[in-house]
Amino acid sequence: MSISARIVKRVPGFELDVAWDIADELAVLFGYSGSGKSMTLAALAGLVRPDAGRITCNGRVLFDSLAAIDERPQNRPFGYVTQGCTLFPHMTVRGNIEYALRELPRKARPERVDQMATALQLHGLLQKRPAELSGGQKQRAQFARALARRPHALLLDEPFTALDAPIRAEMRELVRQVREEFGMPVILVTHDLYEAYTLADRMIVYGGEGVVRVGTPCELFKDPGTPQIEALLSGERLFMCG
Amino acid sequence: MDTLADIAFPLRLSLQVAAGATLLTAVFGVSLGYLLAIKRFRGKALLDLLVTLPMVLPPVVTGYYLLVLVGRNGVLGRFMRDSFGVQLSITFTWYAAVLAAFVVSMPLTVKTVRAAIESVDRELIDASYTLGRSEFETAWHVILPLARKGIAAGLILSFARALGEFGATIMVAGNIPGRTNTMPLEIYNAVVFGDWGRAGLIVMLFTVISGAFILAANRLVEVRA
Repeated sequence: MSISARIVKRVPGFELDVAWDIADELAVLFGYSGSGKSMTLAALAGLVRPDAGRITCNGRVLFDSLAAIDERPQNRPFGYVTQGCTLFPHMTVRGNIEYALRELPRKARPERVDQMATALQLHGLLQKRPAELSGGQKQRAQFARALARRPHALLLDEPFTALDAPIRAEMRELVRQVREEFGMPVILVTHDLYEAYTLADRMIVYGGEGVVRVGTPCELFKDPGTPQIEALLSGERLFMCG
Repeated sequence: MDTLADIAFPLRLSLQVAAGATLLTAVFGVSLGYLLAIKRFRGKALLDLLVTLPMVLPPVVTGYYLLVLVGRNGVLGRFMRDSFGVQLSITFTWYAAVLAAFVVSMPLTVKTVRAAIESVDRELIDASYTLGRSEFETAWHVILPLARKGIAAGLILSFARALGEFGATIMVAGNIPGRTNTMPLEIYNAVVFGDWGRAGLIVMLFTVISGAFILAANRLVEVRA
């Protein structure tokens, strides 16, 4: 299990130029807002087309500008959850999860939905519409939907930013639990340092101007590498790494 | 009673023509609205212009173009005769009235549907793609259902516009009593012959029907907002 990304993308006023690899671990993508973290995830998911680069997942090439390979988002092996609610408002929770199960025979779908409901504590909510759910319930439903088709990795773009603090704690627990239960690499974008420290097996820090540092949280605190990254990671060093 | 019998045919014909035109609009108008809202392609501005033009052109001008296109010796007429040996003879039939009503009323649906589809959250569309659903499936299961009120409103407006079509209709379908005299043409006929009673009756009928349609369309749009 590994994901490797090298992405170059220019948009007016901004240039993303990053390269990193992760193994089967929970990687936190951390950096200033506007440093291209979300764009990186969108490029992995196939929703943004890099100008140049190469993206692979478990050795399978998903994008390669030189070889002119660009898998459609439909064929990329990722579950993708974003900050906002992207549950389809005109479908029930069950309908939303079933929607992701195109490749499964129709008869097998309800059972898979029930499995997902058990894993993410959605029983009793399956017949509800997204508008009837709380923020935390919505995110659990989105996790269920993203995981239902058994992706090879999970991409989480600030999934808890819109939630209240107590629910965020619950959601962090959920991410850990999902990783344990489904055993897949997770890439979590966050701008919350505490979230990064407490969840990350490995941190990928975008320090601006193409500087990327990859390491365990402790490695990075001991040797941030550049003053920008040191500034980015300062504050809770004592409390975390003794 | 005579008067009522006289307006029964135009009323039925008008409803038939408007229904036919709206059916065509439901297929082509909604597709064009989708295309213009979602796709990027060369000639998009030109397509938009062509589709919108009948909304602002005098209907007589649109009718003239249609006559040049589908008339017996028109561009399409000659092409069909020379290439397939088929005589294209839809002019001065109720089919021509459907065509005229369709071309003139479709822009209302295209515009409304385009706006409705453009207002569908882009993230929902992306979500559908990342869940493995094709573009067609996404359009069918996500985009169109979420834009359904706009689509319905557009079709209602188009139907009402098709019902009232006069200028383009008289150009390509003529004004043949018992064959192509739709309600608007019948009002004109009644006035020309000085039959103000009949004209007034049809006008009232028209006003009530059109008013009802506008109310229905407004209601749909309000519920959405």
